[in-house]
Amino acid sequence: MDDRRRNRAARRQAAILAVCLVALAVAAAAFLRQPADENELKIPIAELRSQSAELDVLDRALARGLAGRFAQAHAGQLAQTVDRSRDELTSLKTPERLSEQRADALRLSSPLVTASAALHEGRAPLAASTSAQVVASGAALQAIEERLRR
Amino acid sequence: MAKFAEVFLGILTAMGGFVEIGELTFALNAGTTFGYALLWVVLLGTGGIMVYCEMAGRIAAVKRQAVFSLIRERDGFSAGLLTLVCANLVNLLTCAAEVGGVALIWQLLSGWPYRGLLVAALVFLVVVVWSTPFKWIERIFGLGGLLMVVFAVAALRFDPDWGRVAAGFVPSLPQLGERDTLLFAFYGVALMSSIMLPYETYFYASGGIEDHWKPADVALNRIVVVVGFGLGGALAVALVAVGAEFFKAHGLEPALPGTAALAAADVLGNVGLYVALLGMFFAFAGAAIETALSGAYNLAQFAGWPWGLDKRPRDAPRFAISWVAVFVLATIVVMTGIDPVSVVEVSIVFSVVVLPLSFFPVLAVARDKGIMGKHANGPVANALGWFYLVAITAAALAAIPLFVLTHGGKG
Repeated sequence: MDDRRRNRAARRQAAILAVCLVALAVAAAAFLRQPADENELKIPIAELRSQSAELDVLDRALARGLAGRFAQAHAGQLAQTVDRSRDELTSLKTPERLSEQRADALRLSSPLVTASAALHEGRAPLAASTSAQVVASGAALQAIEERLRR
Repeated sequence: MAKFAEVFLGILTAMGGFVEIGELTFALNAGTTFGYALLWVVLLGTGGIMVYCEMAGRIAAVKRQAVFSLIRERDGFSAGLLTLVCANLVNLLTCAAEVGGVALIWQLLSGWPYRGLLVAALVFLVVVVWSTPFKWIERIFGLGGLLMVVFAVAALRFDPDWGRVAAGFVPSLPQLGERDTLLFAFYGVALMSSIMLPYETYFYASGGIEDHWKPADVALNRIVVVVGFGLGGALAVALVAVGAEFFKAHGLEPALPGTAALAAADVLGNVGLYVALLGMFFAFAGAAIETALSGAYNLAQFAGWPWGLDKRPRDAPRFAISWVAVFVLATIVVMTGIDPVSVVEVSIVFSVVVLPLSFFPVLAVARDKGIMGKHANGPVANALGWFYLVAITAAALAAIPLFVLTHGGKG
C-alpha cells in the first residue's frame, strides 16, 4: 500500500518536473527569438568601443617601449575578442529601427580588425593613419552607444 | 621563532592566495564602471570570508572535520547531495577559468598557440599536485601570488583621490538610471561572491586538516584569517582603484589578463608588466589547484573516502582520481574555445547561490557548545555568522535574476 502511494507520488512529481522543464524551454525559446532591443544592441557595441580604446593604449605603450613579444601576443588575444564581438553583432536580430546603427557599428569596427592584426603580426607601433582610424572608430562607436542609451 | 615564522608564512600565503581570475575581473571592472562606489562591498565580502573561514578552520582544528563532512552530517543525504553537486559544478567552472587563465598568461609570455598551452597547463598542474607536498603547494603559489602586490603599487602611483576612496567604504547607492542601478546591484553581488568563493572555505578547512592543526592552533587560524585575508582584501581594493584610475580614464573594460597587466606596465614599465604577469600566473595556477583539490575533498568527505595529499594515491585512489578528473574536465571545458573570463563570470554568479547551503552547517557546528566546547562561537562570532548568512542568502536570491536582467552584467 505504502509502495503504491510512494510510486504514485513519484510519478506525480516527475510529471510536474517535466511540465516545468517544458514551460521553461518554451519561455527560453520565445525569449531568444525576440529581436534585440537598444540595450542588447548596446552590449557588443560597448565591447568594440572598449577594444578600440585598448588598441590605442597598447599602441601607445608599444611606442613607449612595451615588450614587443607581450604586445604581439596580447594583440592576438585582442583580435579574437574583436572577432567575437563582431560575430555577436552580426548574429543579433534587430528591428528595422536599429538596423542602421548595427550596420554602422559593424562598418566602424573594421579598422579594429586591421589594427589588431597589424599589432599581432609585427612588434612595431601602428602606422599613424591606422592609429587615427582606431581612435575615430572608438569615438563614433561611443556616440552610437550613447544614442542607444537614451 | 619557529611559531612566528609559521604565522608569518601563513599570513603571506593567505594574502597571496586571495586573488584569482574572477576577483581580478570583477574588481577591475567594478572600478572601471562605478569608480570607488563599490569599495564597501569589498569590505563586506572580506569580512564574510574571514568569519566563515575562521569558523571552518576552528572546526578543522578542534574536531578535525571538514566542510562537506559537516554538510552531510547536518543537512542529511539528499540536501547534502544537492549541495555537493552544485558546489562541484561551480568548482569545475572556476577551475576551467583558472586553467584557461594560466594558458592565456603563458601565451602572453611565449606567443605559443593557446590550445597547446592548455594541454601544457593541464600536465603542469597534475604533475605539481602529484609530486609536491601540500605545504609546499600552499607556500609556492601563495607566496608567488604576492607578486600581485604590483597592482597595489600601481594604484598608489596613479595617485588616487583619497577622499573619494574613503567615501567608497560607506555603503551607498549612487544616483543612477534604472538599468545602471540593476548593473550596480549585479556588480555588488558578483564582487561579494568573487571574494567569498565557496571553494576557499572548503579548501581552507581541508588544508587545516592536511596541515594537522590541533586545538592549540585555533589562535594561529584566527591570526592567519584576519591578517592574511585582510591584506588580501586590501589587494582587492587596489584592483578597484586601478580600474577607477586607469581603465575608467581610458574608457576600456578589461576582459583579458593582459589588459590588467597593461596598467602595471603603464606606471612601472616592463618590470611592472612581467611582475604582474608572473603574479597572475601564480594566482591563477594556485586557484586552479585549490578548486581541483576542493572538488576532490568535497566528494571524498561526503562519501567518507580516505583523502589527503599526504596519502599515496594507492592509499586514497578515489580521491586522487577525483582531482585529476576535475583538472581534465576543466581543461575540456576551455578547450571548446569558450572564453575563460566568460566562464568565470557565470561561475561567480552561481557560486553565491551555493554559499548559504555551504555556510549554514559550518555556523551550526561552530556555535554548538556540545560539539566545540570552549572553542564554540562567542556572541560576536554568532552575530557576525547570522549577519553574513542573511546577507549571502539575500545575494543568492538576487544573483540569477540580476544576471538575466543585466545580460550577464554587460548592461
